Amino acid sequence: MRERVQDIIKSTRGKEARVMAILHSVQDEFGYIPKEAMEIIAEEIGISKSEIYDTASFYSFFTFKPAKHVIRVCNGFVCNLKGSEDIIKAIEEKYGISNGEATKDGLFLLQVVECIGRCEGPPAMLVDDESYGNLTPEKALEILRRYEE
Amino acid sequence: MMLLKNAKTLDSYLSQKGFSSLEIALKKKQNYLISEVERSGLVGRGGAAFPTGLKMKFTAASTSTPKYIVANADEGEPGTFKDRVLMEKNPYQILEGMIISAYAIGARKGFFYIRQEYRKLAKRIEEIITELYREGYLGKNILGTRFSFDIELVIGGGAYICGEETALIESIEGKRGFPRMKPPYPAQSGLWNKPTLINNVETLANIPLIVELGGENYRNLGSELCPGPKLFSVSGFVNDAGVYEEMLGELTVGEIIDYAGGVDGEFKALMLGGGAAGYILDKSFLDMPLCFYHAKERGISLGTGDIIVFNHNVDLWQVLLKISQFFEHESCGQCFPCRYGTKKMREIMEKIVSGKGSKFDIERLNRISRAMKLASLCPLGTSAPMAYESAMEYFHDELMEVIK
Repeated sequence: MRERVQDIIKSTRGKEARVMAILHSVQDEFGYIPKEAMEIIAEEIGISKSEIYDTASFYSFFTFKPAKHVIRVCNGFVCNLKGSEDIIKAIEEKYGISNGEATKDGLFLLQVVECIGRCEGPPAMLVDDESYGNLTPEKALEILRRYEE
Repeated sequence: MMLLKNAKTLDSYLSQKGFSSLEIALKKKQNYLISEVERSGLVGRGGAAFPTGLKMKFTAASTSTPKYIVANADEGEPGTFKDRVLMEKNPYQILEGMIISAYAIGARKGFFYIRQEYRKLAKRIEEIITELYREGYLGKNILGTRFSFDIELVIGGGAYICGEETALIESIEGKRGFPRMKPPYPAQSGLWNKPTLINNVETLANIPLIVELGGENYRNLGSELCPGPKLFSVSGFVNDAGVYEEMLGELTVGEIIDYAGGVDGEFKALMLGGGAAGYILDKSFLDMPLCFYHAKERGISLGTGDIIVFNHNVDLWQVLLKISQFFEHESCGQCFPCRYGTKKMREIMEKIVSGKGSKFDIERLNRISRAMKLASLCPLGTSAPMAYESAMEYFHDELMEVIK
């Protein structure tokens, strides 16, 4: 792990907004922010462990549980008016997870989030960086099925 | 279209006179550019509607160096998606506006802060930034002049509060997004306590237009009281939700709803003014011209320019509960009135939605709203009660029907 984190830190050299950049790359690399990685970052860039944790824990997109794909279902009030709760329920039932939980095999982590800015096609969700709109429960599950492969 | 041009590639942007404003601007004096922006009457498009020229003037006047410029693409208000559509369709114009603004205020470094929810788009912006370095629009000696300027892309972490300018500054500095006390304003003390100009991306996209047309001509666009083009995000129960560009003051609220395909169902209410931090209004606002001035005159604000339409099936208490959940979740927790107030509001709303609300609960909601507006540190806390208060003003009888 140390080498991978050190490489990430090296790749952000020259950046001034360094902490956010490092955290994003660590999240991408490991699928979450491992505790050990935070210790290495603190050591390497010369700030305290608590400062790194303080920042990482503030932002909902940095997660502390490993998962291959993160499902973020929008429950902002425009999506909510158009049935986002049915989408959430369908995913919860299909995969046996609720908000903030990951499947046992670590394939999916479910997050119910506020507005993701796709209000022209509600209800909407993000799977990793990809966005999907005009969802129905069936359509949402069909999309997720593709990520299972 | 002056903003929503289809210019996804550099070639197509250049073929639509792209970067000609930058060429003009780099030959002008910095003070001249700032006074042109002042003359144009442009006000910020991110919600606060502060005069852009004045903000530039304050930052330019600060003697401390280095100076920074930040493009705020941390669009997070529910129902607001115009910055995303603008970045998808016409990203170069935003960056051109950013480079011109940096030159005008004397900044050599800029940050483009975009929300994590738009990360795919952020990757495209990053590619464009690299392309602009290659083509000589960024980096050392831009277009052969003595002006050098760098842009660094920063991706947020999924925190609504970071749209607030001082929280955004903290985030760039690698900290949690806690808003700072103002004053000092970023123009005096922003990033790393240096003078910083923070503008919304739509605001920046207007800068090349002002340089091209001249401040006076820009001022003549739209209505006399509020000049310039504006993007409106229209969503909710309309048949054709989307982003519409119109000159300020030329259309009424009702007309833009018609542009968006009309109401899906029977009109009941609309939300206007900046997502959850907006106002719930009745049909008496349908004839209001979409203009910062007229909105202010009627005691509201145009905010980011989003319109969410509610039809006859929408339960307003349900909407208010959702909004209160949003604010509880997004309150950064730094100051007590907001941290506690948003939680209490949500609890009371839940009680009301479950049918157990009493007159005493309404009194408590009113008291909490007053306290939050008086004592919260930043606009999140002071605007959280706005939806409730405006709904009470315009839909009092309906809301009180379920109160025992």
